[in-house]
Amino acid sequence: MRPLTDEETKTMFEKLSKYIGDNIKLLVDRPDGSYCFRLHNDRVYYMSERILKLATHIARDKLVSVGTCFGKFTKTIKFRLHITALEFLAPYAKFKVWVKSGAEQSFLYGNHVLKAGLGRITENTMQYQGVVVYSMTDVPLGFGVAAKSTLECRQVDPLSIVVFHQADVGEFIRNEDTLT
Amino acid sequence: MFSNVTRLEISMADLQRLAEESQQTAETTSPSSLGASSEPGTPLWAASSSRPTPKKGTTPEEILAAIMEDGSEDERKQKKKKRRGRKSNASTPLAAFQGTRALSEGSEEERRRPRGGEEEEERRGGREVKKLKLNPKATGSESSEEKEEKEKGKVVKNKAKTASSSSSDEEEEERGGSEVKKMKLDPKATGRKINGQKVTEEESSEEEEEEEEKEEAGKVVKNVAKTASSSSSDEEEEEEEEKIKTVLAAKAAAAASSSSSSSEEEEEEEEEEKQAPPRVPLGAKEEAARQRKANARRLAAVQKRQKEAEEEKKLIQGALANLDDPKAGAGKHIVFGSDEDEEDEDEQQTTSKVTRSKMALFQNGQSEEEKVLPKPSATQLFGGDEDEDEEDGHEEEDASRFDIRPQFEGRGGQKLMELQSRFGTDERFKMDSRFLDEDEDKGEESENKTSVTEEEEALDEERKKSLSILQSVLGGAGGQQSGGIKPGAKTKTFRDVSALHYDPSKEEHAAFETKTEETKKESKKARRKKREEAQKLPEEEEEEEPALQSTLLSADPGPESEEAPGFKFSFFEDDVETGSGEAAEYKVESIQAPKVSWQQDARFQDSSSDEEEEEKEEEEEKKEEQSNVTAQTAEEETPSKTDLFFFFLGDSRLTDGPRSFCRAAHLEEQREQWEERRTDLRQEYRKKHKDARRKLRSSMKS
Repeated sequence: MRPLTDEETKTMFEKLSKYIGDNIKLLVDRPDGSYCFRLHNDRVYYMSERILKLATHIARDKLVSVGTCFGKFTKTIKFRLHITALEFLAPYAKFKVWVKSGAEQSFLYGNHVLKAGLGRITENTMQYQGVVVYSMTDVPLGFGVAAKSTLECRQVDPLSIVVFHQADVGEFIRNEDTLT
Repeated sequence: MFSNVTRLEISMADLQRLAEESQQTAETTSPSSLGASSEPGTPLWAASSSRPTPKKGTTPEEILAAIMEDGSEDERKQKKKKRRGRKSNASTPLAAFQGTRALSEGSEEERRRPRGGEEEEERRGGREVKKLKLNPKATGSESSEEKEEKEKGKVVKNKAKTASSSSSDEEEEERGGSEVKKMKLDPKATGRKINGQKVTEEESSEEEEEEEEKEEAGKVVKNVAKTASSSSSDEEEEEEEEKIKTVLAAKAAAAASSSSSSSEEEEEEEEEEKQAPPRVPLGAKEEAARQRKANARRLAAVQKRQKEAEEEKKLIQGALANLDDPKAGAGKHIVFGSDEDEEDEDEQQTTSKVTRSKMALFQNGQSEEEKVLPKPSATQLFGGDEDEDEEDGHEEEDASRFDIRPQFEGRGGQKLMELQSRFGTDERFKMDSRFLDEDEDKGEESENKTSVTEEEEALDEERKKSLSILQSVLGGAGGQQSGGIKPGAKTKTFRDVSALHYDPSKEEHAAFETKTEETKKESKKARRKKREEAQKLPEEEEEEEPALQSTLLSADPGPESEEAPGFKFSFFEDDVETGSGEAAEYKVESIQAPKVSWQQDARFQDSSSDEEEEEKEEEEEKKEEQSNVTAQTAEEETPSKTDLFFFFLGDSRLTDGPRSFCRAAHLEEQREQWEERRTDLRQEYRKKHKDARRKLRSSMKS
């Protein structure tokens, strides 16, 4: 387990800022305690200082996971955000998309969101903007990337994709083995 | 309350005599009694003496019952705390008691009679009898009779809830109602009865009352019959009711008025009465004995209840007192002295409070006979012994229980306390000062602290670094990524230009100077002119104004051409040019010239096209300058004059002062100028606002 290098931090922050913008500082600088990011086996974990101290006593090969896994760095050092980070992204999300109850199931199986399944979308959403997907009852389901801006969404036909699927809470069951 | 009551001292023999007499009269005058008993206000005592039988058919049984009820009432009054305002019945003196034999005999008679017919009268008579009873109550001989009356009265009450005028009667009615309920009567029936009886009370006429009573009785009977039929124990009820009716008839004394105070007691007595339905044939003495016993039982029950109530109260008080002191959770958790002295002091105070409250609690619990403890646990916390003698000794111990233990002070003491807590409250394992670990490596502690701080520092550094990276990320890519922020950003950066205030001292505001070109142009013109004037001043001192004007006018193109290229002149440049003449003078002049020009610039701005005005102003300026110059020269000649305190002729202050107060131009002229200026200004700011709004709208839309 080691702290992130500057480039890694930058890459990760860039990715995070797509979804929560400048609210990242609320993650870094918390009033209720000091939290930090650590890298272990190519995965980025977010944990409190207390947990960090305890984790230092565990052998590296025995350590499976610490705190919350935000995502992992791929072989080409790109940062991929995991569903386990949803808990921290959802409250700070800048752009939200609400999915109708019928299309909820489809999204949870890993499919993209079509316009027919789109319930609501935040105003001024740009294209390819990172969005957090909610159900109509304001339960966060996952996150994705907006395929169309808000204005375009209104004009496009009902079967076109409006949100690209990135991660959903169904992965907890589907990818149980690989998620840490 | 009892002012009108006449005190009677009647012995048993007297009563018996009276009873015999009444019996005789009752047989003769019973039918007429109904009519006679009308007025409640009449001295029934007199009426009764004249007509020993009833006024309203006050049969001896009724009287007895009333007396009995009265006595019981009085007793209950004494015992009970509350007395729902009893109205005085003092107004109606009572009829004479007429013996108990009549009671027993009369009951048989009354069984035959319709019950309802004379209830009211009986009740009234009973009320009177009540008063009678109050007086002889003291005498012991009356006790048996009282008891009899009481019982009878209760029985009467069970059935006939009377409508007496006093509030107590109403209470009794309610009680009677509740009693009747106990007897499984339809509550509605009782309600109706009560209502009807109340209604009847109000009415003065007996007959109406009687009729209503009869109706009520009929209703009651019907209801009773209904309920009886509906309930399982039909027959029992009917039998009971019949018996009770007979008993009532026999002893129909002042039904409701005087009777029992507590429903429970009445219930008990009712049960007793129910259990012994065939009462009629009992002798007076036996009845008296029974009543005595019943009374004793009742008293015992009342006392018991009182005690229980008191105990409950104390329990509640104790519990509530505990509530106020949250630290009194020391019942579960022993808190010893802490490390810091301040805390210790507070704790001492609180613990002393706790001990005090605890002591009070335990003392209370122990003082009562039943010894109700707030925590009836096997292991009492503070060894609450029940012997009060030992308590005194324990008090001291208790006071010292919560003192600070010196061995627990300090870090070592803290460890010791933790150790102690592992052993619980066992007395054998109390940690003394001997157990204190004195070898404390404070160096270790400091090392720990330093390591902790180092880690924290490292974390802080990391945090700062990540924040800086974040800023770099957001600053660069923020605009690209979060497009939605753009309009917001634009709106934030919008500034109202009209709110800006040009400050020449600020370097930033130098950018604004282009806007004020016009004014500055004018001022520069003025300055140029002044410069020329200044230059020519030493030469022109003696020239006349028109000559000046001509020179000014003629001089205009010249200096303009000269100064046109050097458009943006600072004040200092002017000074330089004007300082070509006499150095000292020009220096002084140059200092004053800007002031003048500054003051006059506003006027210049006002008049954009009037040359005359300009000329005039120029003249004025010139004059001022000349005067300044002259003043200065004069002043120079007499340099000390400006420093003088007193005014003198030709003082600069005299000329300069009014200039700043007085209007240079005419009022009308100034008004015209203002009007033009105003319209211009309005147009300008309107334009600015519109532009701003347009920009806003466009930014919002995008």
